[in-house]
Amino acid sequence: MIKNITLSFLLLCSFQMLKAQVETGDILIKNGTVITITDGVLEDTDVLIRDGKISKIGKDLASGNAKTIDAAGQYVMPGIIDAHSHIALDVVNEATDPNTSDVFVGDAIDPFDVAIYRALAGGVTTSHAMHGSANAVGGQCETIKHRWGVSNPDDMKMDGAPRTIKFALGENPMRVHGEGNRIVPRTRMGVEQIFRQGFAKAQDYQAEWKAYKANPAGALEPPKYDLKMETMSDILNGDIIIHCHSYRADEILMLVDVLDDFGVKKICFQHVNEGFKVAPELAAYGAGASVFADWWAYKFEVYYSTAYNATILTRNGVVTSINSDSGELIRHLFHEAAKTQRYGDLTDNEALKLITLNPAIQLGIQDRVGSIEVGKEGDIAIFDKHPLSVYAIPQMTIVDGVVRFDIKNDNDDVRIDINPEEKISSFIDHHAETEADRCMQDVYEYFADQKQD
Amino acid sequence: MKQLSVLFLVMVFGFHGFSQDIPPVTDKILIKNVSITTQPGSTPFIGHILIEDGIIKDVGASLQVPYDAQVVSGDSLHAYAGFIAALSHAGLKAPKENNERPRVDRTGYPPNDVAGITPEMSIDDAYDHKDGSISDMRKQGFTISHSVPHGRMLPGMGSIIALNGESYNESVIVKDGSMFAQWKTANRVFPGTLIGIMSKWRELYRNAELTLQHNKNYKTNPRNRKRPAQDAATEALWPVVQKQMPVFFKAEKHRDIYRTLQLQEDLGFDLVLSEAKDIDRILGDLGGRDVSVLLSLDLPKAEKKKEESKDKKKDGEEKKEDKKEDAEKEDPKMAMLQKRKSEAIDRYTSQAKMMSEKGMPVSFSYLETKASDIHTNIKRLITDGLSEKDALSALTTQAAKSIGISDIAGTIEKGKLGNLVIATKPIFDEKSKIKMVMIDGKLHEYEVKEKKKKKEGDSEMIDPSGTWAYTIEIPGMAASGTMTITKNGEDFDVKVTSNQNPGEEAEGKEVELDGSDMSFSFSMPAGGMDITVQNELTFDGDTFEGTVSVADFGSFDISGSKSDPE
Repeated sequence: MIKNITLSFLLLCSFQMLKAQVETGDILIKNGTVITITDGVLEDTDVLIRDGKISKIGKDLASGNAKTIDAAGQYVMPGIIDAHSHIALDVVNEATDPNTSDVFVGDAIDPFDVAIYRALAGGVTTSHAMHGSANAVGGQCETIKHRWGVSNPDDMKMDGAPRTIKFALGENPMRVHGEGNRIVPRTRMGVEQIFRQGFAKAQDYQAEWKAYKANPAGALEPPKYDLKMETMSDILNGDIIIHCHSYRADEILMLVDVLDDFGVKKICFQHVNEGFKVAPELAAYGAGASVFADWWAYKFEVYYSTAYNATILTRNGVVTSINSDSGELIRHLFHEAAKTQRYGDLTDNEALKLITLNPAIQLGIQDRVGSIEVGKEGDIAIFDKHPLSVYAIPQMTIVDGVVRFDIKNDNDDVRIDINPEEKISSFIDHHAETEADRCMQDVYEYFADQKQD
Repeated sequence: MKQLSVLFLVMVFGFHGFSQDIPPVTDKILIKNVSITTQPGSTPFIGHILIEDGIIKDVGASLQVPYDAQVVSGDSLHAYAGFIAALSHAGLKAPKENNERPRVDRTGYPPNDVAGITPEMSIDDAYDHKDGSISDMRKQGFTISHSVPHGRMLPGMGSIIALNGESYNESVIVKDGSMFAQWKTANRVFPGTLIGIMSKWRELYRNAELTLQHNKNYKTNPRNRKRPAQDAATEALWPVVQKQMPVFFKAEKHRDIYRTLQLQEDLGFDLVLSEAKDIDRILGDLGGRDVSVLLSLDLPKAEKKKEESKDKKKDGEEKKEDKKEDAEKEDPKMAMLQKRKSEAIDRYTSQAKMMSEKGMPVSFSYLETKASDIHTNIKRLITDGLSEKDALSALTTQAAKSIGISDIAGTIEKGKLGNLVIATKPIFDEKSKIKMVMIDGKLHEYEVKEKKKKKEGDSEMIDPSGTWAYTIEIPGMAASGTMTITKNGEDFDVKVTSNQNPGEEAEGKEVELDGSDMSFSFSMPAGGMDITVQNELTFDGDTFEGTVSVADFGSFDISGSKSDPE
């Protein structure tokens, strides 16, 4: 009886409205020092954004009906891209299995996370919202644009960006599953087997479905639909870019071997603190590397590190980026990039590429963002000084031609969503805490009840 | 004390036997001279309602009365169709929360019951017709509930139940008509997070489609085919994938709502968004489409009115907390945060109005609301702009529609179920009290006590010190004893004894006096656990009246008088 209602008056619509039109804008940025990344630095130059896309770069451009911003004496660079973050997520780790390729953090986007606004205040327009590193094969990730102010989680997503997935090597998956649950992987060897089993089973799975579909409809019992195997198959098919949490050189080469055995090419190593030891091998495989400028020694496997890592990788021809993995670091990635000039003497453009075009390449979105070029998306960060100067302060951040951060209009309380049940004083207490290394968020409780039996 | 608890067990578990086993003299009841609102928005008129055999036989200003009908006077009373809870847990006890991590071989692959995936469950076994939630809802005017099981992501199917306090078989109106789902994860096994629930839904749904097809094929021609394996959970989803059974999906906050809509978009099931608290941000996207949403009545706590605290200041009754709050208000930063919090509360209490303005029908779900808060909260929604017509429709016609029983319930109409609510004043009047609730032609009466009018500025504290004799009215029996109240500085101590068990004492906790109203609780062991008895008393000279209530069991009237008058 209840079913009748749905026919009579319920969802006759199918919620196609979930993909709302993303807001775009028209802006003319006048007389700035334009750091294009791909075409040098253009002094005293205008950048015109129309319908959210860069339509003209040149001198004395007419604004038409576009909003005009005077950037005289200021530096205009492409919006910064962070290839590794966990902001804007309600859930980071589904830590219940060594392989959780079936889950997808795109299902858990929180457009009201104040960290998005803070990232914008650091000139960051795009970030890679990643699953955590509790599992050897973690969940699928989401590339988001920092459209602060939208309430539909879908509007945060960078529509059309390639699919990505988190893998993790070393201590984190060993601790969670080996120590925590007493199952494979307890060792680094075990971690390798999770990948090999995952891919091998996916090959069987593909064969099963192929056989099923080759027969006339209804002839065979359908195979079980397995979302993990679906995802692993998609990786084998080259539809998903792997972003792998890694530190040690031996393990990095291990994963390269595994992927080579299964014919998987799209791989970007994350953290990759010992990447400097295997830079030629990474370059030869076409693997990317997304590193910290100078963050290490927070666990045993992260001691053998150097601040020259980014430079060594770059000089060896590895597409390298610098990431935050933190709601705090993400606010000053331009400082992090500048450290490569102190440690390694990268040029201005090489250093800025680490936080613009290179992370874009690693995420497969280099045709759309990462440089100031006609036809690319209107994602811009404006600084009062050269962004690699320690005195630089971001002034304005633009996403799709829409101003999402303006230092002149920077309210104390920028929250969009307010919990009506929360004590007002707890807002201050809660946000005073700094969060670091969210890679293992939601996981520590897993160690709380280990029993020695 | 022991006897006191035995007494309580009797009154708690046994009173149905006393009150309801007496067979009715006649199955014809006439409610005479009552103000009748047949449906939301219709003009009330004085008339009569004849109920025969549990069905409304006739309604009108003048009608033929059978000689053998029991006549109930409706003078100065107001009759409405019995209220309908479009979604609640009425009749189903919440299981004890267990925070221990279940012991399973692989945390990524726990058995379905551990994962919280039991869509095959009906409420028939778990339904407890003596559960206090049923009488509590009935007392608020509810006659029918669409009751769904407790649990995790997929607890099971819902049934539509008459809240008559009879057994499941005698109460059930629609068995297993809906699927209930929520965003409640398993305990540190898969699905341990919201993204795990998303993935599990996608996998279950796709497999239900596949196995359904294979079973159909096998049925048509089993020869030369592999026998399909049985799987209770997947098979329970077959009616869902065939859109023969709607999913009532509990999704409170806006992101959970979006996730629910995402699943609906991906998979295509029929959806009733339930227990929504924060829907206005989505209304723009819905663009006035015909979507069924059940709003939560679990509203954020109302803020104290300023005048009150000022009065208290004058009276020198200011508490420390108030001082702290005032200090916060004086700090401009805190004042700004406080302002935003107030706006947030207003936003939550304006949800119903905003839905109405978009032309979307409003109805409620009651999964998170205490029965005794229902009318208070509906009045808050009305204060914030929901029309009384829409409020009444949310309780009657719209609720009936959203669970598919408009044919038989929701209005006072010939041929519909004899379900009525009869109140002392128009139902949304501040002073309105529910006097009678009829379910299937059976009358449940409630004693209505007019609160003494407080005189203007009468916030004077009385001193109830002394020894009081009390009587608790439990249908079919009485419990009595004494209550000793002694002043202890600013506060009061309360000691409760029972005549049925002299010598034992229970001590009152959280004793609070507000004017002439006193509240306190005491706990006592019963059946291996401690039950808490909540007392709300109003003193008037040498007498008091009030209620005692026990969580999950219900509430009873209490009255008393001073046994040592000065």
